[in-house]
Amino acid sequence: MADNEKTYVADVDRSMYDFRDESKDSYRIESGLTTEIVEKISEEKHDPEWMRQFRLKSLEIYNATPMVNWGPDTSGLNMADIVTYVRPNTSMRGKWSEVPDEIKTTFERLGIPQAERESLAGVGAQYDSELVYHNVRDDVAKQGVVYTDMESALTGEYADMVKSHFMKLVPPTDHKFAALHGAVWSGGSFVYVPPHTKVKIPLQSYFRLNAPGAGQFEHTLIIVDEGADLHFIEGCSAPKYNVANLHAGCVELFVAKNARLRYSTIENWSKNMYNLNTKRAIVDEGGTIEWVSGSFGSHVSYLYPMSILNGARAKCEFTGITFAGEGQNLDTGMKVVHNAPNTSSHVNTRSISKGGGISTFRSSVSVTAKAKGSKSSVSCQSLMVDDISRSDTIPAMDIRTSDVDIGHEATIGRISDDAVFYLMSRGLSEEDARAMIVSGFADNVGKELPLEYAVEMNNLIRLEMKGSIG
Amino acid sequence: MKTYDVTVNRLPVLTWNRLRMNETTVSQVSVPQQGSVTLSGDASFNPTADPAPFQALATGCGPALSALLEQAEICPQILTLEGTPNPVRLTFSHEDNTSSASCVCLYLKENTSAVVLMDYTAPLSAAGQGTVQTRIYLEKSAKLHLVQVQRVGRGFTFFNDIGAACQESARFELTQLILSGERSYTGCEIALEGADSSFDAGVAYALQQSDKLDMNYVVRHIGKRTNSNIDAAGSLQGNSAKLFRGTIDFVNGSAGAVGSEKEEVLLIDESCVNQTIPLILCAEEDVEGNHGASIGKPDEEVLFYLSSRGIPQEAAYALLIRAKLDAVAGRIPQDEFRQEILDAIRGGAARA
Repeated sequence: MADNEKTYVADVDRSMYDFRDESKDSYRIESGLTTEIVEKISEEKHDPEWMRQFRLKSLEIYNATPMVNWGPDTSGLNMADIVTYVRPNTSMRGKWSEVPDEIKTTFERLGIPQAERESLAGVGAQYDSELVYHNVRDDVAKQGVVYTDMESALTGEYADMVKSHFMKLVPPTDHKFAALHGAVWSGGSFVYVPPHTKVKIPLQSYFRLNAPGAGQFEHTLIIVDEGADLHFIEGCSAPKYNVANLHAGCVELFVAKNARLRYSTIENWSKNMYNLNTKRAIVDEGGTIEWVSGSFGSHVSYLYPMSILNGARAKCEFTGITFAGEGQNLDTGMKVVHNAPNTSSHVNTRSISKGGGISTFRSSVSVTAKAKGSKSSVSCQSLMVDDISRSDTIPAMDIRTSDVDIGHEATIGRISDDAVFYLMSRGLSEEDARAMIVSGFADNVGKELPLEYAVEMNNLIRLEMKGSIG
Repeated sequence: MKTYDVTVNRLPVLTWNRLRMNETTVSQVSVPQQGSVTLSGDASFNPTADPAPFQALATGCGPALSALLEQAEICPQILTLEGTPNPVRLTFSHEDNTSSASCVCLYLKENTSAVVLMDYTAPLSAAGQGTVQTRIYLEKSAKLHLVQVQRVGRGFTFFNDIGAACQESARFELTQLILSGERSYTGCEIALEGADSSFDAGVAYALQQSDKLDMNYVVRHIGKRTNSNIDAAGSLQGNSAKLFRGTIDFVNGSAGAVGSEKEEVLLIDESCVNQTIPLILCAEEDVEGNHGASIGKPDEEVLFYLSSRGIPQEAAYALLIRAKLDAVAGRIPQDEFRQEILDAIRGGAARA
């Protein structure tokens, strides 16, 4: 190591995500949010009438709902400046070779086609407001697994199923940005896994927001039927612009009796992004929802995947990591509602704050009177890498029956000098010792991801470990 | 009598409003009369003491309660302690169907070491409203052990509010027992301003019937190497409800600070409600903070053990409830008062 090379834990390197394409969209709606704009989006997307009405009702709710009085500052987000619909210069393709070159190049640089070839059962790729590519492996399709874009699902064979589930779990009345989503949603994926079907390798949707000043509002609806099993991976990134971008997607997951769904996310939006995303799962008797969540990007995040354990013995496991660097205020966490007997939840999260970044872990564990015999354990650990950053922990527990076992623990601290000293005494440089400690700290998520994604996440953390101590 | 809605115990950082934990609005609060305080021991209130050190202190219940006391023209009574005085006991007596309030300010001079016992009493069958606000200023190396026991009437609404500042190497120990009261609101905000200052709290409660207990403890670590510890433990029976807010706030510059909070809650009956929100706020790298909570019904193995020793289930529950109270009562540093409180617990002041 050079003499002048010192150690620090730097921000996640986003250079591999920060390239941008010249915006060559075929249609871009004017910025702002009005009835006319919502009507135009509905018209562009050839919505059925019920969806048009749904959008307009959602807009009313949006206009009547105040901003929350808690959480990070969102004053830099001005809806009058946000373009809510940008259609790329292509229609959706089922063959990678047919995707236009500049979009193809974008996803190839992100490694999506390679991942599809090597480790995925199906891929959806969304570019700005629309899906540009969707494909599912033949053997998986033959199992009866449906994996398609939301627009096709809305009018196709599964239209009734979509209508009966769409925004039933996250109604537009839930909060202001759920209402916004209901009004302007576009893109996203619909997945249906038939009873007792095990999808052995994951499906993935990748969301890329390329247009400056735009919003992305994709809707993901997944129904895993009785006894079925699925791993779904969501990735997202965007190049950095000097204007605010907005992501207000919505994920609704229905996990039927004895089914299992693992939902993994590596989120690496750019640092001009307001990530106001809503994710929710409802789990029936004996079912399992597993969340694996890595939050690395965005300027501001409000992200709390929620699990409603609605059937006896339903389970939730949540594993998460948040890395907040310079200019980032990431408010992340989870919510779980135990609403049936003998349900259980297990939460394990880590957060790292550095370079003036703010990381907040916010959670709620609610146990209703019906949830007798339920258990919950929540563990959150935070690492402060310098004294200009901030890390807060805000866990809430609301318990309304006595026959429960609820545990919670949280710790906050710095990189242990003793641990660094110990590793250095075993021959590691200080830099490598700190790198090892930070990587180990994040290992709870890494070991839950498929290998390729764990490697990517570790690279995100390791790439910038070299530098100088201030 | 005109009554007001008073909002107390606001979290330093807010969260989802639907949880109804951010703050509590207490309805039908009347403007109190000046309360009766009996002071025993060598000390006496000093009517000419300077109130300035106490005026800037934030309290746990918050500004709305202070404003109510101001509106009611409740006169602060200042007690200045110096050296190693004998334990001071203050008894706050409350009558049936009355609304009274007292504000006591404790000033401990440098190197003073004192024990102050506060006893909030009323006939067990009484109803009414009581408020005690305690403002505390500890000079360098002062040590205070403050004991507060709430054993007011079953129909009482009671506000117990503390605001304190600790200078260099000062130590504040707080022992609180909440044995009765229909609606209890306890607030406590401590500013550990001086380096090496510390705060240690032991809190116990036993709720029954439709009792409600609403707590808000905030420790601000401002000075270097400050240390705090909050242990809260209690039991819920019947339709009782409890909300515990605990905040450890590491302010930037509090290098070397250590803070921890722990809560244990025994849920006895099906319809009790427990809410817990323990916060750690951190703007300093070189600190250690941790909190833990354990909430649930009595351990089956413990019940089985007690049963195998011939103790019926109801008696076993009573034993476990009392154990939480006894553990905290055991912290009381004056033998006579400790025994009095242990006897009161056994006698059913906590209805255990």
